[in-house]
Parts: sequence; structure tokens; C-alpha cells
Amino acid sequence: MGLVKYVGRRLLLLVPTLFGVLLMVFVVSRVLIPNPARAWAGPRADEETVRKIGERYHLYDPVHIQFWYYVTDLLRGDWGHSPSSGQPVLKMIKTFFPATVELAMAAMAISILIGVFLGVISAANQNKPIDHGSRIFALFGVASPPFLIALLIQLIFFYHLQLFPESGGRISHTVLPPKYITGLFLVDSLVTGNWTAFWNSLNHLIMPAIALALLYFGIASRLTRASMLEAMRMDYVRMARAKGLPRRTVIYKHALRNALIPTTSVMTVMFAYMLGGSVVTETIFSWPGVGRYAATSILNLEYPAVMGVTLIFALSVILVNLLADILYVFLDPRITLR
Amino acid sequence: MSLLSILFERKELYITLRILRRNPLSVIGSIIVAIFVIMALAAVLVGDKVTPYNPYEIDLSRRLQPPSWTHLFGTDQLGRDVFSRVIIGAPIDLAIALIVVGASVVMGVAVGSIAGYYGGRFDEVLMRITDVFLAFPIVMLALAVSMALGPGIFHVIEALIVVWWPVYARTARAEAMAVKENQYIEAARASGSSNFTIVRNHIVPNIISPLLVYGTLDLGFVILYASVLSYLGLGAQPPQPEWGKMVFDGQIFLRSAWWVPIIPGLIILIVVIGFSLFGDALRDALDPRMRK
Repeated sequence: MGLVKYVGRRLLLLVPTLFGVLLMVFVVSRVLIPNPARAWAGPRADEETVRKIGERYHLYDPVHIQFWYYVTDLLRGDWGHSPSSGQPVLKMIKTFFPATVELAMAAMAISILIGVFLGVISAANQNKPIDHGSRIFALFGVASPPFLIALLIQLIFFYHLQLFPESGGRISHTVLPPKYITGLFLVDSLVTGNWTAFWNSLNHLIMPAIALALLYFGIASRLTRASMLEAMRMDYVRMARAKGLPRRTVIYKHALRNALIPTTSVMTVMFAYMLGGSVVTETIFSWPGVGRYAATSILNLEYPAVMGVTLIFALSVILVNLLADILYVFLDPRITLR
Repeated sequence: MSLLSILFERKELYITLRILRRNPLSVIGSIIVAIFVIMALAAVLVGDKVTPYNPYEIDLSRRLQPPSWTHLFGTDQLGRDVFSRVIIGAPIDLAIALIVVGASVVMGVAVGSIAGYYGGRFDEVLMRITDVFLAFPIVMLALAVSMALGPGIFHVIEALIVVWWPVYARTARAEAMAVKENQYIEAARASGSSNFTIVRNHIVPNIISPLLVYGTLDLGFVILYASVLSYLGLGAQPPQPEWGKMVFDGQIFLRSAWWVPIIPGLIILIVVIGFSLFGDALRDALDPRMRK
């Protein structure tokens, strides 16, 4: 019962945030742009098209009326059209989104693995060389521009070691993509038992995922270290040590389990960063996701696409936040459902 | 006590320097920051006389030469000296970082100190507004804003300020809430100071130094984001050498001439690490618990 109420309250709190997000994207895409109708119609459109587009999306109306039409258009699924290809933005986002979700989830898994591992050994060896080493490693990741890591990985693993297919994309042209179920190639090929597709897409996924994970695992490793140190000061850890349990058992069984709870909360922050980082990483690895869609749209001055991606990223972050808050309740029974 | 007054009191300066020197990492950070700042100042004051070659001069006869003693970082696809272009690109990034962090600190302190001090409805509204900003991946929002404003370096600066100030407002608010519990605030109120006077004379001076330290840490990250924006085609326009743009222009030569895209990228990485280590050290140095 308490859980239902908690989730309900949490959903209610979403309303102002959602409204704010819509308002923000609206302001950016309609108010900040000097000539929205021209921007919406594209740089090569003639005056007639510009006027038509302007009327179609109510770009000449007063701002509050524009906002009303903006929201209703969004809800009806009309997120604007790409000026050059004429494709609806929402359709393109639907096509590209699974690729980004797959990449971000793989990168999340890798960075949590590296992050938690380094965090634990840092905490167990506090202020020893291994702790400083992992701190510097994390700093290198966080401080690296996304294109640097992606290009270095390409240079080393694709060109010099030639370990991976360098064509980019999610799957080789010679391999048939798995039957569409979730849109995540790894999941779909596993479910349908399509091993060729599975290995091929895993091969394509691994390097972009590592490139993205290396940028942000530092967030997880620093937090895990801090919460491990905190957990190791707790009475139950001293108790476990006092009754003679080996250090390893205490660290991995007692301290780590409790230290992991705060780490889940940082996952949403990492997810937001990864969506942002995907714009560059996907472009360099020719990964056909929304990030690359945004990057090419910026170069081609396709405003509706960029604004659409901005909106979908914000909505995803909000959704992941919600899921994390609910997950948190299951992980930590001490949290009272208020 | 503000950061500047700490740095200019002799005894405090001595302690600060001693703590900075105690940690080898902070020495490295300070050196990187110093070199970067000197490089940027030299490039602004002396222009392309400071560089070994003219950073804009195209000479196709010496294109894509690998790093050597004549061309320390090699030459790019148009035969321009990468080392000279890196130096000439330094002031843009330093200026962007200083303006963005400076404006964010000012805005953050103004909004955050008032919200934290008064509390109530204004505070509630501010928190909801910053929540909205935090729902966006920073890069994506900055990209959208800067694209909406149109090309050019000033629009990149504006876009970065838009995404950067909310964090400072939240930090300033938290600091202000802690400061306002002090007895001297109560004393000031009892002696008849107006709320505005209290905020200006007591709250702001007491929250400014943690924010400035935080800002130092952030300078590098502003440079990082600015470089991502110009990598994606927003910001610096050719032939203006900007580090992120240099990576973008050079990346098709990754296979044959790795130094053209990789070296500017590494320079960004080193500068960000430098500011990060320097900021960390500054925080430790100004932390009373570390002053033994």
C-alpha cells in the first residue's frame, strides 16, 4: 500500500518538472531563435514554404498561443519535419532511439563494473598507491573530451591492432539484423537464438560502449569509494571484524552491500551524462543512434531534429530518475515511504 | 573572508603555498595552469610572433608532417604548424572558461543567496527551476541553446552560462542556508540591518570563497564543454584555431596522421586535469581542517 502511494506522489511531483522541460525546449526552439519559421523550414526553403511552415506550426501567433499548439502538436506525435528529407522527427527518433539505449545501457554496465571495482579496492587500500592510481585513472576519464577517447580507441584497436570491424554501425552489412522485438540487437538476437547476429552486434557494440564508459566510470568509483569508507566505519563492520571474520569477507559481504545503495543513486546522473556523451561517441563510431542524428542535424541546421532529441533526452532522464527512486525503496528498506 | 583576501595576507599566503607544495599532484596542477595561462596571455599580447610559425599560413608542400624538432606537434592537412595553432587557440578557451564561470558565480550567488536567506516561496520556485535544468544532459542543452542563438563564439558562451549557473545557484543556496544560522546574522538583524544589507554584507562574503574554489575546479570542464560544442560545429569559425575544432577538422586523417586530431585533444585533457588538480589543491589549502 505504502509503495503505491509513494509512486503516486512521485508521479505527481513529475508534473511540474515535465511542464518545465516542455517550457524550456519551447523557449529554446521558438523564442531564442531569431526567425523560427525560417529555421523550421530549413536554410534552402523559399519564402512560400517558410510562410506555410510558419502558419502550420503557428509560429506567427503570440507566444502563449504558440506554446499551447506546441504542446498539443507534441502530444499528437507531430514533432516537426526534417527540412531536407521531409521525414517526421518523431519517426526518426523512434528509429534511432533503441541503438542509443543499447549503447548507453552497455556503457552503464561497463562503467558500473569498473567503477565499483576500483571504488572498493581504493577504499580497502585508502591513501595507498593503488588508491591514488585509481583516482588518477578516473580523473583521466572524467577530464577527457569524449572525442579524444573515441579517437584513441579507433586508432589503437581498429587501425593498429585491427581487432574490430572498422566499418562502424551496429551490425555488419553482410549479417541480417535480428527480428525486431525490443530494438536492442543484443536482446533480440538472444531471444530469437540468432547467434551470428549476436556475436556480430556484440563486436560492434563493445568499443563504443567502452569509449563511453571510460568517460564516466569515475563518478561511480569516487562515490563507491566514499560510501565504502563510510560503511567500513560502521559498528556492524567493527563487530564483524571483532568476531574474527576475515577482512575480505567483511569488505565484500558486509560493507560493499550497504555501500552499493548510494551508488545506484548516482546511476541517473551517469545516465544523463552518457546521453550527452553519446552525441560525440556515436558520431565517431558511426553508431546509428539519436546522438549521431543530433550531431548530423546540427551540421545541416535541422532545428526540429535537434530540439526533438533534446526533448527525448530530457524525458529519458526524468524516466530513469523515477525508476531509480522506486528501485531505491526496494534496495534500502530503511527508507520510509513518505 | 574572501579568496582574494586570503591570498593577499602574507601569513595566509605562506600557509596556502606550503599546503599546495605538500602534495605533488597539486604542484603538477599549478604548473599546468600556469603554463596554460602564460601561453594564452602571450598569444593575446604578442600575437603570432610568439609562435614558431605563422599559425594561419597554408603551405601544402609540408602538409601532414609527423612531429619532429622542426614541427614539435607536426603539421596539419594544410601544412600549418599544429604547435603554433595550439598556442594561438589557448586564449579563446581561457576567455570562454573565465567568462562562463565568472558569470555563473555572479548569477549563482545573486539568486542562491537570496533564495537561501529568505527561503519560502522564492526558494521553492528556484529549486523547481534548477530541477528542470538538471533534467537535461548538459551538453545537449548547451548544443540546442547555442544552435538556436546561431553560430559564433559569443553564443557558445551564452549557451554555456545558461546550463552552468543552476549548479552555482544550488551551491550558493546551500551555503547561504548554513551561514544564516550563525549568531552574527542574528546580531546584525538585532542591530537593525535590513535584509538586503545582511545578504550583501554578511551572507555573500561568507559564501563566495567556496564558490570560487568550486569555480576553479570548473574552469577546465567549461573548456571541455566548449571544445565539444566547437567540435560539433558550433562556436569558433574558421580560420580561428579552436582546439575542439582542430580535432574535428583533423579526424579524417586519424589513420595516416594521428597527431593532427589527437594532439589538440590531449592538450584539452591536460588543461582540464590541470585545473582539476589545482582546484582540488586550492580547496584543501583553504579548508581549515587541513591547516596544520
